[in-house]
Amino acid sequence: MAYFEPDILLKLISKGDKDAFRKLFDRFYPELINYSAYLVGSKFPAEEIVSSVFVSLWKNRTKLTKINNIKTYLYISVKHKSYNYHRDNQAFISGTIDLDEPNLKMVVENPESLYLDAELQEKVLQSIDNLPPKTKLVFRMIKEEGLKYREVAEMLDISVKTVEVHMGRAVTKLRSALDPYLNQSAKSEMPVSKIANFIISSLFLFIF
Amino acid sequence: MEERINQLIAKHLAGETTPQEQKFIERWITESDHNLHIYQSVENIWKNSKTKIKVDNSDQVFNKILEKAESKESKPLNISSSTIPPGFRIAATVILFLAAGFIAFYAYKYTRPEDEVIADDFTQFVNKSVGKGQKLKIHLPDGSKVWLNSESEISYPERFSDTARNVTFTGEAFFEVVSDPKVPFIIRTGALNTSVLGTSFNLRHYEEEDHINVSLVSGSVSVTSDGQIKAHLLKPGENITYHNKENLFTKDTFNLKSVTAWKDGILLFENNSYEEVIHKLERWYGVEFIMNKNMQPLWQFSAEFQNEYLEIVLESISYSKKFDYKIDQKKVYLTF
Repeated sequence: MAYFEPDILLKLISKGDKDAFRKLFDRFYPELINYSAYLVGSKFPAEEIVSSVFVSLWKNRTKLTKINNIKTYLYISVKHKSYNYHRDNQAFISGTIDLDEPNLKMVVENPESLYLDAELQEKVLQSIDNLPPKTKLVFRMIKEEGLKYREVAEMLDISVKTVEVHMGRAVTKLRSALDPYLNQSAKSEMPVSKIANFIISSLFLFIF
Repeated sequence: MEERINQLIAKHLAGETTPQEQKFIERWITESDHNLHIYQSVENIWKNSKTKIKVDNSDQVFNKILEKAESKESKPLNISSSTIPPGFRIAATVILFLAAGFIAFYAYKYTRPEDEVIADDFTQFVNKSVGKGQKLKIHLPDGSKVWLNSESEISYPERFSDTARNVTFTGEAFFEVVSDPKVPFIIRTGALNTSVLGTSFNLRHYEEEDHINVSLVSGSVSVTSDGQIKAHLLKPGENITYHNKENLFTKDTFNLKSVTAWKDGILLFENNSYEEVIHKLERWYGVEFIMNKNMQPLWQFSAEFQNEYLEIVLESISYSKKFDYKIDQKKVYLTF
């Protein structure tokens, strides 16, 4: 599937293009569910919340061109609705509520891609899935959603420093989980060719 | 230090480093082969983590969104239930405990998965459900409050009609109903209709149980079953039990505390058998028990825990009942 720049989609949507709307939905809906489920504590209201954001988006499509950044707009809308939901439907007994487990399944995107190591991808996926919930969410928002540290901090009401800490922790944990596997595949690489490459490119640079 | 390096590598890969940090990390990478190796392995992980989250019913959800957005009566989804009417309406409340069975709850879930908001001709219905180990307090559109116990589900219109306030429900809930004599509040659960004339009560109807209980705390309610004309009026302190198979009612009184404790976060055991204790704990904490041998010791266990962690509860039970336990995520292993 071709990659669609969200802001181009937005222009099409504002003209009433349903296919574009569907593409935007496919692109953001699952991640927003994950995000909202984290904020409200379960998947069930999250679907309701995120759907309602898309409903009002389609209703107000003619005004959409005024939105600068659709990604941030969607996340912020979901954040506000989730907080309202949380305020009005407070889980009334603490200690028995598990806030951290939205019941969603993570899958490898494009496992058939040739240039990526499918087996490693599967291992990475598992290791990401095993990260502590908040670290996992932060890592996914930065890595998969391409959100900025500052944006993630704002969306989760934490400091940029805390985002850094989560990212560092994610890297530490992923490395320790994947190191044996990475070393193994590193061995199969051919260091000689690497060095040769290096020499050739150095020479190249030198000549010019 | 290693943690900080990992933070910087992540920052670098995410393109978030400041110029100084960038300089630092570049120098660090070239400092040694070991550092380079670390950087490359993180980069490798980074490149190979193209994941996304899967949603099974996306066509269905998308169509519903379009339908909803294009419906003529174009009002926003009221998901926050924040329309609590002015305080004066909550003058006379009814407290009612209702409990209804489980099979229906699951059958319902499976036949209509993900159907939180169902478009009827004019009315939008809201479904709320809570899983094992969870409890939820919700506000209905008329300002009535409902405390849902674990594994319960309620469905109600986004806006009540002028003639009746109808809700359907399975599981266990405590209702505090806003009094409005002109608009009866009717709860449909299994084969029972409970009409609230202004009160609070507990309703219990887990489908695995072959009976439905309505326990009235204050106010008054009337209960009817399908195929029976007679309405049973309840007085505060009375409990009526409907036996599904026999289609008959029995009435008795109830101990307020034992019926409503759950709503106040009190996990109450009263001469409970081993099976009852395990089942209560599973539902309350959303865990699964696994025993080392297939046995059913004879227990008569009584205790009370308020907002207590599972570990503390188990510690206390194991003290008198002599077993070892181990909690691993959502599983509890008991060794006798």
